[in-house]
Formats: sequence, structure tokens, C-alpha cells
Amino acid sequence: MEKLRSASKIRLPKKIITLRRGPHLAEAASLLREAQEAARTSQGYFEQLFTQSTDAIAACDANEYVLDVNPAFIDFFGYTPEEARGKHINDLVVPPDLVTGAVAIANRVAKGERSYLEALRQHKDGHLIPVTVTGAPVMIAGKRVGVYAIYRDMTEQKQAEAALAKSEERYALAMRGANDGLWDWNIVTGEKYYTPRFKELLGYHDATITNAELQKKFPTLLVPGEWKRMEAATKAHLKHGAPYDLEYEIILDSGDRRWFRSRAHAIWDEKTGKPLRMVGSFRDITRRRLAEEQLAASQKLLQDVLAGSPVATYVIDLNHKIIIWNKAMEHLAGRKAHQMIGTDRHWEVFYPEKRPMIVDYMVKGLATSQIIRRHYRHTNFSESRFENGVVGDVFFSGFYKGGKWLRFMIKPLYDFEGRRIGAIEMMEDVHQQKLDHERIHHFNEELKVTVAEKTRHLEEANKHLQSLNVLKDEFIAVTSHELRSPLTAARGYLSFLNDPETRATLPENARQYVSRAYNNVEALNSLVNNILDVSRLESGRFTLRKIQTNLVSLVQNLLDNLSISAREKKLAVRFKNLTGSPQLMLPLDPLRLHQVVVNLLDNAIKYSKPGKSIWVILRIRDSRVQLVIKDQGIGIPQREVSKIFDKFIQAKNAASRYQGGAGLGLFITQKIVELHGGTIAVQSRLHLGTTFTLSLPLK
Amino acid sequence: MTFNPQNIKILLVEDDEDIREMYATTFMKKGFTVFTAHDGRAALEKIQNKKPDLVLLDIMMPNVDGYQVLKEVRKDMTKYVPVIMLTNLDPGHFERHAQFEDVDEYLIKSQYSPSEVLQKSVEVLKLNKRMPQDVVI
Repeated sequence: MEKLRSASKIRLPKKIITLRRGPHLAEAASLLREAQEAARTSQGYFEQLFTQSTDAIAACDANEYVLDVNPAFIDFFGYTPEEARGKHINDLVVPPDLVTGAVAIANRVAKGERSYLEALRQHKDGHLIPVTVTGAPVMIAGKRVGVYAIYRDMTEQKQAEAALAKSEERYALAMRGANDGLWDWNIVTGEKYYTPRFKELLGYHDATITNAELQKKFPTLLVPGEWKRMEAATKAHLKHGAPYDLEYEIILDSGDRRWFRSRAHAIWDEKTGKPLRMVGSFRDITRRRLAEEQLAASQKLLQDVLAGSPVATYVIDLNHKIIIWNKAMEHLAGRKAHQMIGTDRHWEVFYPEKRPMIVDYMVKGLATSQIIRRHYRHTNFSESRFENGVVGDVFFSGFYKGGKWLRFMIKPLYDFEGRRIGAIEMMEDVHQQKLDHERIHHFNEELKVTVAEKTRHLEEANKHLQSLNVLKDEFIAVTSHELRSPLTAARGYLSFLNDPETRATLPENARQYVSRAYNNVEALNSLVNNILDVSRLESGRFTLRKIQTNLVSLVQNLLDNLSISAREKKLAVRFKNLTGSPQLMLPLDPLRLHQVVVNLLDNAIKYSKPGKSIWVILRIRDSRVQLVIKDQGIGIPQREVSKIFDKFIQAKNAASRYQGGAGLGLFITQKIVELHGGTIAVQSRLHLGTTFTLSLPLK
Repeated sequence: MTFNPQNIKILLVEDDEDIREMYATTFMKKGFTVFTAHDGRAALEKIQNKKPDLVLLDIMMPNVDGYQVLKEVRKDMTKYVPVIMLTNLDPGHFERHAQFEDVDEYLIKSQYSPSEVLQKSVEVLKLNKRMPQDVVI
């Protein structure tokens, strides 16, 4: 510090040293005191500046040998004041290969000039430090008595700032992307600085790993072999200025594999051309890489699928260049993929001269229905949103001999972000299909005509049949009417003659004739009625007219009217109502049930011998009404019993003793009973009599 | 007042002369007043003019048939004329053209003797209060 102080004395303010050489001693003494005072104050200032400066300062004598160094110098270069003193400043801090530069400074300083430059100086341990060097001579009375060498640190932040100022554009480039991590490599010192974001991208926290640790660790994070690639790229960039833009995969401590893109620029020393620093950005591109991988995979898949597809397919890109031309397309077009891929000659296959096709409009987003219709007159296509593609059939007249029908499907292709990247056209030869279809269509038309004709014939025939059916109904109606009308008159007038009063006025033989005529008219009448009933039954047109009917009075009235014929044979007809009520209301067709009972009673009377009895019994059995008619007549042989309800059947026994009738009565009787939901049963013993049991539901 | 069948007017509608005469004789013998009509048109006229107590109506007739006569008669809701269908057409044919509710009785001529037709007519007249219940014809 002694030296320092003496050195500081040397640098007294000029004013003090050169002025005030006064004539008076006292004044001179006073002035000297003042000067000493000022000098002390100045020395204090200087001392503080020297010791507290962040710049490293070395005070040297005129020959540049170090007299003293300040604390910042000690920190900066690693030498203690004892080690530094007495040494030539160049030997201390100037790297051997830069001594020339330092000598140049010294020369300028030697001429009494201040000198300033940026340079590299060397730490005691050998590492290089970018600095600014200021050399300032100490002049006393115009004579150079010493030199101050002042060094200012330019590493890290300061250097980055300087680089930014120098190469703002490039640095900005490196900075691009807020999510990017940044690294800054001091090539001179070999140190690297990483931004917190950089560390974060690699799965670290800024506080948990130092730059030095990360610098050491970084190569081990890379997938094997990648570090060499990076080194090569760095070398190429530093040496030849080749762009540094790499993508590589990193395995994080967590085991995750991530892709990064690293871009960097170096800063070179303008004078020496040596690289000083290299600043780079670091971006996570894993998502993009994955998307690209998927895209590549799906493209591969698409290509494989299309290659094997039996559908002729080609794909063009945005520049109408064919990028896919599959086997089926080769076959359809008669042109090999290697002839077509990379060209825009897909039109050749279809047209004699170059013209845009739907795919080409599709690629440009210009496909509209008008365009398609204008260019393809023989086209049937399903009109929809063309952005989703178009499907249709088109007749290419120049395709093969005489043209061909093709079914096409054309669709624009889009990338992940919805940008159009090309178009695909798939084609199918539907010529034969079309022809077949036309043939089938033609055939169908013919068939339609034939079927229509046949249908018309059938309808006519049906109409005819229906009219015949109506005619038949009418025929039966008219027949019954026409047959009955004369019978009505004959029967009616005969009944006048047969009336007891009139009958009594007739001669005996006339009475006989009237009786016979009347009986035969009756037989004819019942025969006609039966035949008409059978015809109605068989055509299903026999309908009942059911009303609530008192069965007791129906039977009673009937027996009252039958008594004449029964009396003639002197038969006793006995009626027993065992139901316990004088009224038995049932849903019946009274006319038809009357017909049934009359028929059964007529049979009983017809086949009974004179003087015998007939029982008519009404009773209830198992919730059904039973009407039993029992005679003591000739009976029916056992083998005939089951047949008596058939048409045109009269028991042989009965036929042999012909009693008239066509054998239709019991057939009709059974049908009427069945239409009422009832049954009829017969029991008979030859020569002893027959019993008919009629069962009807109560409701 | 004693019952006089002459006060009962019967209208016989029948195109067959023999049959018309047959029923007319039957009713007149018992003292009824009988009008006859040989077709539907005449029948409608007589129903209008003579106001019969009972109409015996055939179906198959020239010009206007029995169905149309019945339809016309039943159109007038203010008065009810008892009608017995007396025909040789079977009930199935009738049912296709008219309703049984519209007639008081449906008789097939060939199945009933004239005296039976007379008895049915008397039943209908009694039911319609055109003659006393206790009278026996």
C-alpha cells in the first residue's frame, strides 16, 4: 500500500502542482498546506476507487512492471499482490499467443495515449477471459512515469449483451419462441449457460442443477451416437458457417423419450475470425415428431392398402403431380407406375389432348357441379358437397375401343391442419355392369309390360268370375223364386179345396184326388226348399237370423199344427217340458229351428206305425238345452246309423218302403243345428224306434 | 163397440195374379177390406191414398220392387205402417238389401199356406193394436 500511496502522490492534480508559486513565503507555506490538504483528499478518493472498483487494476511503472494490484485484480486473475509485484504485466495476464496485441497497446501507452481494446486475457490457472483493456499513462511534468492497466470482465451476461448488440438479428432468431430453452456457450472458456426453461425442458429445475453439471450430463442424455452428430454439426458451423439446425432424441431421467430441435449461431471475433460464443435455442418437438411419424405410418399404410387394392387408384399432389399409381390403375390405364409417377399426365389415359380433370379441380378447390357437368356430359354423379368428394359414373368415349363406363370416386386430401394437399381418384370399370344393368332394365321393362298384361287378364277373369258368382247368387235367388211361385199358387188353391168345410162339399173321389194332389205338392215344395238350402249351405251363403226366441212356445205351436197329419195315422204325440219353466229364451233363427223340428217330427210320423206314440221332451243337460224326439217306428239298421246325416241318404229300409223325399232333410237339419253351435245325435234300434237328441247352447 | 174386420184395410202387393187373388180371397172370406197393387209404384200410391193397416209386400216385381217400396214407406217417420214381407226370395237375399228390423214379419210364400199367412197377419195387426187381442179370426 506504500507504493500505491506514493503512486497516488504522483498523480496530483495538475493545478496544484503547477500553480501557486507565490512570492510570499507565508503565502507559499499556506498554499503548500492547502495543496497537501487537497492532495490528501484526492489520495483518499483514489484509494477508495482503487480498492473498491469491480474493474481489475494494475499500477505499473514506466516499464510496465507491476507496482501494485487492486482486490478486483486478485479475484479476476487469481494472483496475489505479492505474486504480481515486480512482474511484467504482459507475463502475468497476456496469453502467450496474444503478446503482440499487448505490445501494441504498450507502445501506444508509451506515447502517452490512452488505449482501449477488447481482448482475451489469461487467468493464473490458464483459462481465458474476455475483457476490455484500458491502458492509461501516468504523466508527471510531461513525463511518463507509469501505467495503469484496467481490465473489465466481459464474460456471461455482459458478453451476451454485447453479442446481442452486435448481432441483434441473429440473436433474436435464436431467441424466437417463448417456449424455447436457450443455451449460451462461451467458446473461449468452454462454459455453458442454460436458461431455466432449457433445464425445465429436460426435466430439471433451475435450482437443482448447475450449468456446469448440466453441461457434463447433457451428452449422456442423448441417444447413443447423437452426440457425435452434434459435435460434427458444431464443428461445421464454427468452421464453415454451415447452418446448425438439428433434431435429436433425448432420454430424460424419467425414462421419457423426447424430441428436440436445436438451432444455433456462433459469434466470431471480427478481427481474428475466431469463434467466441455460440448461442442456441432448444425446442421440444416431440408432438410434431409423433405426428410426423404417424403421418408417415399412415402414408405407408395408405400406400400399402392402395397398392393391393383391386380398385384402380391414383393420387396427385397440389402441383397435379402423380404421387401414387397403383397396380389396378396400371392395369386399367395400361400405363406403368414408373411412367406416371412424378408427372402430371394422368389426362393421357382418358383424353387425346391435355385438359384438366375433376381431380385437378378438386386439388384447387374449384370443383363445382357446373364444372363437372360441363366437362363430363355423360356423367351421372351423386351431387353432394364436393369438399367431401364426388362419386359418379362417367363414359369416356376415348377410353378403349368405343369408350367405357367408369365409376369414379374423387376426393380432396387434407393434412392434419385441414390444408388441401392433393386429391385421390379411384376408378372401377363398370362397363359390363352398365350393359348388364341396361339389359336387365330392358328385360324388366318387358317383364313389366308382360306382367301388366297378365294382371289385366287375371283382373278381367276375376271380374268375370265375380260376375259369375253374382250371377250364380242371382240364379239361385231367381230359381228359388220362380220355382216357388207356381208351387205357392198350387199349394194355396189346393189348401182351399182341402179345407174341411170345402172338402165336405166335394164328392168322395174328388176328396181323394185333392188329398193326393195336395200331398204331392207338399212333397215337391219340401224338395225344392231342401235343394235350395243345400245349394246355399254348400256355397257358404246360408245365414242365420238369430233373435231371442222362446223354444217352448216354438215347439208347442209346431205340435199344434202337426196334429192333423199325426191324427191321420192315429199317433199320440206327447210333449214333456222338463226344463221347469214355461219360457226358454234362446238366441235362435226361429224359421230355421222350426224347419229342423218339423223335419224331425215329419220323419218320426213318416216312419211310425199307426197307433204308436211319439215323445217330444225338452230338458236341460250340462248347461245345454236338449230336445228329444223319440218314436216307436221302424228304426234304422245299425250300419246305416252313421250315414243318415249324409246327403241323398235314406236308410235302405226306408227306401224299400219309399216314403218320399230326396234324403236331404237330415243333412240340412244337422247343418242348421251346427250353425247354432249345437249338436244332433241319433240312437236307433231296428223295429223298436229311433231317438234324435238335439243339443243347443243356452247362450 | 164390436169389432168389424171390414174396418181393417189390407194392401196386397203382388205381381202374380193367381197368388194375388188367392190371398185376396183368403182375407175377404174373413171380412177384411182388401186393396191390391200389381207393382211397387201402384203400391206406393195406394199406401198414400188408402192408408192400409197392413201391407203384404212381395219383393220381385216389375218397375219398383219391394225393397224400394219398403224404403219409401220407412222414410216417413211420422206414421208407422206394418209390413209383412211375403215373398219366395230367401232371407239371405233380403238381408243383402234391407234390414229385418224394418219389417214386422218375413214369410216365404211357399212355406206357408194362405190360412197360415192370414194367422200371421192377425198376429201382426194385434201387435200393432190395429185390432183387439181377444178377437179370433
